[in-house]
Amino acid sequence: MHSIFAQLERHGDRTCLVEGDRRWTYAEAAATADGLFADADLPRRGLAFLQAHMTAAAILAYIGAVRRGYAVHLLDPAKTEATARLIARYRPDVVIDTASEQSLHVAGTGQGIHEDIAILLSTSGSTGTPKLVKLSHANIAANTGAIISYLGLGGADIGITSLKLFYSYGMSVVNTHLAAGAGLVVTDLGMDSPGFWALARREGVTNVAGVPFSFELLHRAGFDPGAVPTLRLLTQAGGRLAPDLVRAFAQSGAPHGVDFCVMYGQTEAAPRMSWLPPDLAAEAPGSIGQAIPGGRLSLVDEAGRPITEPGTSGELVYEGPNVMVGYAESREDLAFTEVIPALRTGDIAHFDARGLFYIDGRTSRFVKPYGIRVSLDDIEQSLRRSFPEVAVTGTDDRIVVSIGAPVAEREALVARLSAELALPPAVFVIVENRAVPRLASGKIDYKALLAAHAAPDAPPSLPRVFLREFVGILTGRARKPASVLEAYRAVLGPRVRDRTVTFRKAGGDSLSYMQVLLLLEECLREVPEGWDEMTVMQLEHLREAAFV
Amino acid sequence: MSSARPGREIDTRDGLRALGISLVVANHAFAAPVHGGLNLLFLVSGIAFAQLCFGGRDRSVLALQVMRFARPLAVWSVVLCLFWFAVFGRFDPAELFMVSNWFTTERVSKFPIWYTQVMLQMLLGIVAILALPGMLQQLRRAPVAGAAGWLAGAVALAVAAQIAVDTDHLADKLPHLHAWNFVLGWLFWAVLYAREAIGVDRAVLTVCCVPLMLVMFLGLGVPGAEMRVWVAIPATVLLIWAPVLRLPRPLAQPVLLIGQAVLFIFFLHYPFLLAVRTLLGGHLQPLALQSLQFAAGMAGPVLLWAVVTAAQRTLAHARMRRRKTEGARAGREQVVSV
Repeated sequence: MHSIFAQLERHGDRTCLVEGDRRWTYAEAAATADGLFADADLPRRGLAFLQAHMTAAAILAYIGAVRRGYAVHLLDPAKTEATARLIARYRPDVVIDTASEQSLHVAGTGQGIHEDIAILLSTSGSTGTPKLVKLSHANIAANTGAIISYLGLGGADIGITSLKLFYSYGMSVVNTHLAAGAGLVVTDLGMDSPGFWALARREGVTNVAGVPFSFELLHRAGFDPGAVPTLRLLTQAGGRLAPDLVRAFAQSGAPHGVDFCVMYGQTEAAPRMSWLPPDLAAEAPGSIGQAIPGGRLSLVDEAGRPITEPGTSGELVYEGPNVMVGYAESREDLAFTEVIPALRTGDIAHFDARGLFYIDGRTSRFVKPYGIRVSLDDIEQSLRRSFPEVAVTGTDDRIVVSIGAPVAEREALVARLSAELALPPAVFVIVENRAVPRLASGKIDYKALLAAHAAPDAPPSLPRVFLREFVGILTGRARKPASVLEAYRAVLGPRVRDRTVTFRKAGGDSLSYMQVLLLLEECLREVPEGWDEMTVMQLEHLREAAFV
Repeated sequence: MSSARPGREIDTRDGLRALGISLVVANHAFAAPVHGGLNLLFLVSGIAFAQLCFGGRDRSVLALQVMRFARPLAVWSVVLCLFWFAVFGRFDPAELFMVSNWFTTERVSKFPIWYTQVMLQMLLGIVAILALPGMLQQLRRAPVAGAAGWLAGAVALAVAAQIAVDTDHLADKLPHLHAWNFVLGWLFWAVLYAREAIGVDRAVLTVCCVPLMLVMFLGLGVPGAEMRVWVAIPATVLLIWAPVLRLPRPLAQPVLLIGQAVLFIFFLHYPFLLAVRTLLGGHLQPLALQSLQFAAGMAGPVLLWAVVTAAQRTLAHARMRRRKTEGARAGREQVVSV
């Protein structure tokens, strides 16, 4: 087993991490990381859960844990309830939280974890059964090497932590920069914050990674790629960016020597599967490009037969050394790895005459409300224990959960799904069916269920909306959020404990940013810039700031 | 997520806003004068102003932020001035240009226009001083010291002006006599809201502002000084020590409604008062009539505010519906990838 961080020392005095005024060379970072795990009482191997704060301390702990040979699961620090469930299920040997006084908590002996497993990541939109993707050292090394190769990353580069470490894309940014001997500026600021770009300028950042929402916000703000003179590369993954925005960023960056590279991937592929060469971004802005070095993309039809004709749609399949070594749903699943020759992505695609791939849609069992990829099969499975006659279907607008019995606590179920999937409650429709509709073959008739319930209820007439709002305002039960606090809680849930939290501190990210922003636009006359770093209480008082 | 304890929490500032505007309406509805309402509104205004201009991350030009703060007040005032001019067939350019408070206590417009005039004149002066090099940065860097300095300056200005110039014929309706009340709100913001306030902060603030308010109300000789003392000081102390109030729901909801509808109540209570007086003037005992005037002066604008707000939300709903339909139509052909 050879981790990607095994030879960090070879980069010697080159700058590894920068956080505020503090800098670590590669030699210092390796020594510090190893020092965190020097305690003789720590198990030699095993499963480590790491609270993935966006800090140098957490990154050093991540490096140390991987170097030591732990199978490391990166946790979202904001999801305390989900973490508690994961800990109960997986019984980690070591829990690392660099933000707490006792940063290392040893709970096990390290037995029963396969030595090949390096990283465990949550699948997008996983629900009540916390399913983790098992990524081996070979997966990580292969993908890291491929990304370094096609992005041309090297020791002269300086990246910046624009994405969360527990997100596969954010993890990949850290992995690639450290493996390439590049520098990495550590910050918790978002790309939409003016402070982020000031920091990037100050530290001479050469490349920035973002998701579609980040780039949409940048575009709205009139971002100038020339504003950071050292910038040479913007990478985009984590969803589809509208082709006209891809073209806009490619064209606006060209005069300044800033490339725009669109990428595609899944957590199950560690995560990168394809990239669009920057020189094709303006020509083929809707494409996900070609397979990464060492990988292969292909298409199969519904019967599993390969599609070889350009322009014909089929399910996208990926093969490569970065395909995961399986899923885990319990600690026992970490004792083994699987060989998965090909990854069926669940996306429908076609390729053009040049061999560039384009995503056309999705197989029906995945939907993507608010940009969050959700497996309907996963939801069904997680509910089956409580509701044996459950069927789940949906579209990108709503998820229909059919329960074959009266649902006593419909609101509680919606609240649970909303919290687990980080989606607004309004996305979920709970229907009570005496029996789940089935086909003659006995299979669930998802089409019929979808047809019966997926279309939103006919929207109420505007006079009715007016009356509802008027009564709601007077009684304090208005359906729209009556306050900033309610708007925050509708999206971020119980993480918003009181009015002293900010959007960032409550765990808001680029995905929930737009949801909260839309609700805030209904609460405030004007949503100020930098609202995400203001407390709820500060925002509440902007509602009436115009007069008192 | 819902609290097990009964009642509903409200921000004390909302409560003070509601109390303040209620006292303003009561002053116009009842024969006996009721003072102190606008002092509370000045204080809460000052807090909001400081939050907007000195706090937050929005570093856009101060003048723009002040305009954002003052715009609804100024626009509504001008519109309603013109309305009342039309109703009474009189035109007063000084009133329209928001400077009549320097000449007379008489007014054509049937709302406390002097408050708007004082506020706008004060803001002009504040912006002019903050435009001086380093003034704004100082407040943002050291908010407590900065606000305390400004407060000292405003107090000195009020006292000096009272000694130097006789303006009794204008009552107290001049900006330099109220600036200290407004700037006191900045100090409240700096101590209580710009950072985590601890007990000592609150104690020091109480010890400083109670005597100050006593001296300013009684010393400046403003009308109804004693009542202002009895109203403003306890309310201010409550704001310092209980930033959040838990009220029974039947009480919390009206307080919140009134607090949100302050602008409407401020500008529009008089027509409702007048309507009740005109229709029922000869038929009720004075106290009953005055109480009904007060109720109408409060309820009428609140209902009007609820109608306007519901209409705004309905329009926003219609806009979002339209946006969603257009987006869904465009998005159907579009692709979503990971």
